[in-house]
Amino acid sequence: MSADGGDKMQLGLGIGKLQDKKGKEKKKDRRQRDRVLSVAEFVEELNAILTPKQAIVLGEVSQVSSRNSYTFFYLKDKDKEVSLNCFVWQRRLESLGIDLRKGMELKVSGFPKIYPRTGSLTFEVEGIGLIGEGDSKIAFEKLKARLESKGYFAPERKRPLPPFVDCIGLITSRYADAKTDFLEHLGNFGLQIYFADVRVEGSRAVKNIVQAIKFFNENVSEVDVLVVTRGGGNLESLQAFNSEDVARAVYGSKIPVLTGIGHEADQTITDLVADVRASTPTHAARILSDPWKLAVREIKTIRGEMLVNLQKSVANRQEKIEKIGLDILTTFRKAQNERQQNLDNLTGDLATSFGKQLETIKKLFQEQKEKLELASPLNRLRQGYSIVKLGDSVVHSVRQLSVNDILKIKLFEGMAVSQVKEVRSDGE
Amino acid sequence: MGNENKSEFAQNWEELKAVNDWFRQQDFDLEEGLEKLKLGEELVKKCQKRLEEIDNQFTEVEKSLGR
Repeated sequence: MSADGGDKMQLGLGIGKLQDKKGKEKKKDRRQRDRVLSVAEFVEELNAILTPKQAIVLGEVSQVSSRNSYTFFYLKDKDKEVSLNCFVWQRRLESLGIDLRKGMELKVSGFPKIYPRTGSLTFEVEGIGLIGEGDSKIAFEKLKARLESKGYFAPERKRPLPPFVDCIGLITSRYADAKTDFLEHLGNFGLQIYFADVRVEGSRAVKNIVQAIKFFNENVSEVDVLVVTRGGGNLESLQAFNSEDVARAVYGSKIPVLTGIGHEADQTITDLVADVRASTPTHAARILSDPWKLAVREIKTIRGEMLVNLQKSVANRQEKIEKIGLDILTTFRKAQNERQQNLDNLTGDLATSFGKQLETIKKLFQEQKEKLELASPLNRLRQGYSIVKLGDSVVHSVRQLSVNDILKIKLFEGMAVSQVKEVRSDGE
Repeated sequence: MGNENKSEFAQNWEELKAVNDWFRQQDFDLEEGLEKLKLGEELVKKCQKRLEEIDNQFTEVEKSLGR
């Protein structure tokens, strides 16, 4: 068989197969159409087709009917006479602080569904965005007051960030300028950054942000802080950050939350609940990086400072020792001088006293000398007295003498020898 | 959670600042001063090592969160 022949055969086979397929589908459709279904089965089949058709619909509220736990309202097209019956759980409205009123312009996200009981088509609302600024503000204030009364904003529940954040859980959109601004200003300090890409506005934003916060809390335990951030926008675009669901997720987070949402003037409910609020994504980055920058600067000077202080202390110690030495020397010298002075004084006193004593002694000596001289036998001899001796004995009395005794007579400057011629007593 | 315990760097840094503050007091025992200086130098080394790490690690988690 030729090549051409082969190709034609392949083509023929292909067309044949297609024709077979179409035939089978037609048969299937006929079978489907001919099926007899119960009402419930049919409604179920319809819902299987309808509910995946998620949509965001813009319209104006025309009629509101509220029950305890849910609300029905009509959303009508601005330009055409077309309405959509909407259903929303009351909790959803409360979480956004919204009071539905006729005339409000809304952007609702959700899916269509046929309610089995009534068979009516309803749009089940999952998310609501207020279009009018005034309505948005009213909703914001209402929700803010309610959460404040529940203690969501209490200062005492706010946790400080760790002094040096090592690991960050970043929650923002990958397409947002906020992500770029945050990472650019964070600097390079060997940090670990885990990034969760979320929608930051629109109908899916609330769910995304809540899921991200929950994910980090349950799966990434080493994170030091969650950073929830987005760029500036109007009240409508920041609406996800003014929802009770996001506020509750932040409130319940075990990891401290740092927000950097919009600009300085854009304070959202999430900012009020957060542990720390930065005015912008850049500011949030700086809050985390400033301690590291300071440490890099300070480490250069700390070591030098310790050494200088030690050297100063050594020098002070030396100075003190020298001073003490000097004081000791001075005290010693002073004591020495005093002692010397005392000694000199004592010596002087002694000399004076001795001199006086000496004079007294001299005087006494002189007196005694004079007395002695006066009493001296020589002095008597000089006066004409003599000492008479008989043999070796001194003659004191005439009764010691006899006639012819030989007497020695001691006179001043010599002696005489005599013989007794006569002895006579006084009174004879 | 990482935020409940101070990081190793934070602990070392705090200790280093405390040692530096100790040196600022008027009078201190010189022997103790030498010990503190030795400790201070070790802490400076550890802190410097951490500060020299400059490359941030960036990891995306749970891509499905954005959908």
